[in-house]
Amino acid sequence: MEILDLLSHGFIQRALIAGVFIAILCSALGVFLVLRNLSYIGDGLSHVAFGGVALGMLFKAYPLYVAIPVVMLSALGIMKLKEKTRLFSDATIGIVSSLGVASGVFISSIAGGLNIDLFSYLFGNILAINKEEVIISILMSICLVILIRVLYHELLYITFDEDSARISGINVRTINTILYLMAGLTVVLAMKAVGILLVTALLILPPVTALQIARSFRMTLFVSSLTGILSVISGIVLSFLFDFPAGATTVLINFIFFIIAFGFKSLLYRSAGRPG
Amino acid sequence: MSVDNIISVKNLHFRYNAIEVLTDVSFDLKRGLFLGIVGPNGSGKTTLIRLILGFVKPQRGDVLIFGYPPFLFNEWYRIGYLPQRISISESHFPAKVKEIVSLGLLARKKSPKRISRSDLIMIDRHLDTLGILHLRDKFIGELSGGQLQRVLIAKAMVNDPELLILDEPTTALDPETRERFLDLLRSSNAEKNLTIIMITHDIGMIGRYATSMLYLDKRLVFYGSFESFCGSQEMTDYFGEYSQHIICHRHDSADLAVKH
Repeated sequence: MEILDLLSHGFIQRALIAGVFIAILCSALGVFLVLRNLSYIGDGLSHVAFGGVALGMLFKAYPLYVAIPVVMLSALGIMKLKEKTRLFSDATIGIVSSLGVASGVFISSIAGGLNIDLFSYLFGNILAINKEEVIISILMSICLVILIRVLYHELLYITFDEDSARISGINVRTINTILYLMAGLTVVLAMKAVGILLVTALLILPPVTALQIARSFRMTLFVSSLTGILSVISGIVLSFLFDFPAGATTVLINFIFFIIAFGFKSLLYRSAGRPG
Repeated sequence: MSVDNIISVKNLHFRYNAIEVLTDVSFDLKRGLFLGIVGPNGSGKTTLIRLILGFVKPQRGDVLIFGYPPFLFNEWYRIGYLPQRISISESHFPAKVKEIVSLGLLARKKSPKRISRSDLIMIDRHLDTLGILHLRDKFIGELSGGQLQRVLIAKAMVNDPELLILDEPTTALDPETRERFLDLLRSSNAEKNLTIIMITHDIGMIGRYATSMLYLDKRLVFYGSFESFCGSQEMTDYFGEYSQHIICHRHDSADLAVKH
């Protein structure tokens, strides 16, 4: 009965729909990012998003409309910086990330300090997600699923070894550009759901959970998406029932899934006589 | 460039930051040759391959691959490539052996690329040739270094390329597997006219299989057959008579060991 009550609220319906699609986006995209040592790109870009949101507030524009282009340009910036400087991924992400936070703090200080709105972006609130953001989440998720379906083998090859993929005639640069841009957009959407501080968790925890138990690349994408969806739904339901913060609850549940998967893998390896 | 030349390298210079990596390297590789590229660490062997494949651009000089500069070349299905190392940590990569080997077939396919039933049969045939058919459904993280190396070799060869480029392919292989693999290369070279370029540190070993040798030490020191390498005064001057004798003697004794 209580669950039916829950579903009768418009804001819960929006949160669940957007949450499921954002979870699919983060979890599937996260598999490629984690396997390519780009796990922290979510963290870096979310810090840039902080700068973008502050900039939007300074100019009294809708913060996400400013954050989206800023974050997408920064995602391309990370890609270019990595290519040109041949630095490690974490170093290039660190450069862009610190620039984003510094800009955010600087801009907000010009604007008279951090205000409540800016704090709401730091911690997120999926229950406050609006109709436009729900539509963007659905469209983005559909695009990503189509992309993975059409370019599955190319994505697998690039993730496995970029150089070998390149000399198989695969346009590595174009596919990388699409992936980085999608990462940027996903971070902005996920920021609304779990907040700037926890975006990374949505991109990392479902893939690493899947990597413990999945036995193929396809299965990893599926298990990762399923873990993300279950975590977000549980997070929203529990936050409503017990007045918990939705973003933090989602991340903690996701971590529990990871522990269960890790324990399962360890048991499996122990029974097979192999180290876990 | 002659039609028989698969690769043509002319006056190639490559510098990384201020460090000279390759200076004035020129050679032609004819179809059907088995070329062993040898040289000390840091001599530019891998860089030469990366220049040939167009991963990096030279400051000066020209490379032609099947008659085209690498950045204009698009018939990649004609080439099989085994890099020195791959970019991911394979122990965590969630893919089965057959999935990884199937990647070697993508160059021949148009988008959307799909792996067919006949592709799977071809994959099995190559896994069988390399003695790893029983690993086909294994997770690659569960393989030993030698097994993984054989999987990557299968990926490079599954497309039946005209040119096979191998960067230190035998380092993780046990002696028996190494001999089996090199015999496979020799027969593919002889029977299918497969052109092979193989980077290795083992001059004695490659001498028993390669039809040509290229010795690199930031510049081209020697290019010719193993026999002429052993008889070359230039090589005697470079290595010293004793070292040259050791390299060539090792070659003879190893050859005897295999024959008996």
